Amino acid sequence: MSESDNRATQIEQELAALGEDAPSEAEFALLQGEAAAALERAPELASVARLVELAEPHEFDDLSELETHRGWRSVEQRLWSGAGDEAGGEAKPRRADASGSAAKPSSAGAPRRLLLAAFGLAAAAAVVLVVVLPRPGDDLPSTAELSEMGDQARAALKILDDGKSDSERAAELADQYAERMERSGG
Amino acid sequence: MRGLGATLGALVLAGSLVAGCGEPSEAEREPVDTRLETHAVLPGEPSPAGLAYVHGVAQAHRRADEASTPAEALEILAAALEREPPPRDGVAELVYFGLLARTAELTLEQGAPERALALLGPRLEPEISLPIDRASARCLIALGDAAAQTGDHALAMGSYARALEMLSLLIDEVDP
Repeated sequence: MSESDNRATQIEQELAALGEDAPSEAEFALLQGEAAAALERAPELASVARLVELAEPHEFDDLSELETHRGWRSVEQRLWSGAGDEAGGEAKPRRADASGSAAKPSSAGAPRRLLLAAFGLAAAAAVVLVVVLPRPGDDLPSTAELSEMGDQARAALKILDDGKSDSERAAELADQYAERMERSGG
Repeated sequence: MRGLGATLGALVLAGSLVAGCGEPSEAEREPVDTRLETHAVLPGEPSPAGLAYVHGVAQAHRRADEASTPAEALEILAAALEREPPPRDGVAELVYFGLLARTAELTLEQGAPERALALLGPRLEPEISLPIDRASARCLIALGDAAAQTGDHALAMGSYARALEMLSLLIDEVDP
């Protein structure tokens, strides 16, 4: 008997002693170190192996904390979008705030508010651009122009208002902080 | 939304570039500084010092809500502002800027733009990185208001432009 046959017999005996089924041809090939042969016999393994091979050149192991945080948030949002599509509805991702807990899901009016805020900002930015352009005899914007800029900025700020007062927000953050401390064993 | 955000960013950037590249006029022209350094807020590791700070600020806000006069409320908030947040604590930083924004806004309401300018100016220098948060935008707008009211149009314009850029980043954060 060849060494390979001896090894096969030994493996079968050990598995039988454990009450396990004998390995399939693909599994046995893997055990024998014949990865290529195993993949040929198991298309699903070949698919996974190919995905790993494709992902390897894009591997990042030097991301900063911020980059990692943003990367995972992006993945999380895509997962939620996919879940929403499968469910046939609109699943909104729960954005984690600075305390690490999930924020409230966006209301139905949030997209419209954001669109309004974006247009408001566009208008304000246009004001900035027009005001900043050098005009003959003028150095800096007039009081009226400044006032308009300020009004535009305040309008955009108002649209992004979540309705919580400073006290409410601070109290909420304090409670969440305490919970995080408790979870971390502090 | 992403396209609009990109357009906004381009507009603000273009405005900044134009401000920086124009020919100097004969009259003395103060530079309009629209630089904005920002960072995303990360929670950081919770600590007893951080918890004490956040609780302290929350308490100050409650006491200010219950104050009998705006002047009294302002005194309470200003006292809380004297305490620095612990370093590398994202939540404490957010709470700090919320406190700064409210204090500055109340100061302006009290008709003291010079005081608001002294409060905000050093804390919102263009070289200082600000957290991407609505409170930062509030602070920048308050700085713009204070500067406008004290006649510093260059600072006012720069502050408003920075506030607009911060708001653009906020929209992008919420709905990328």
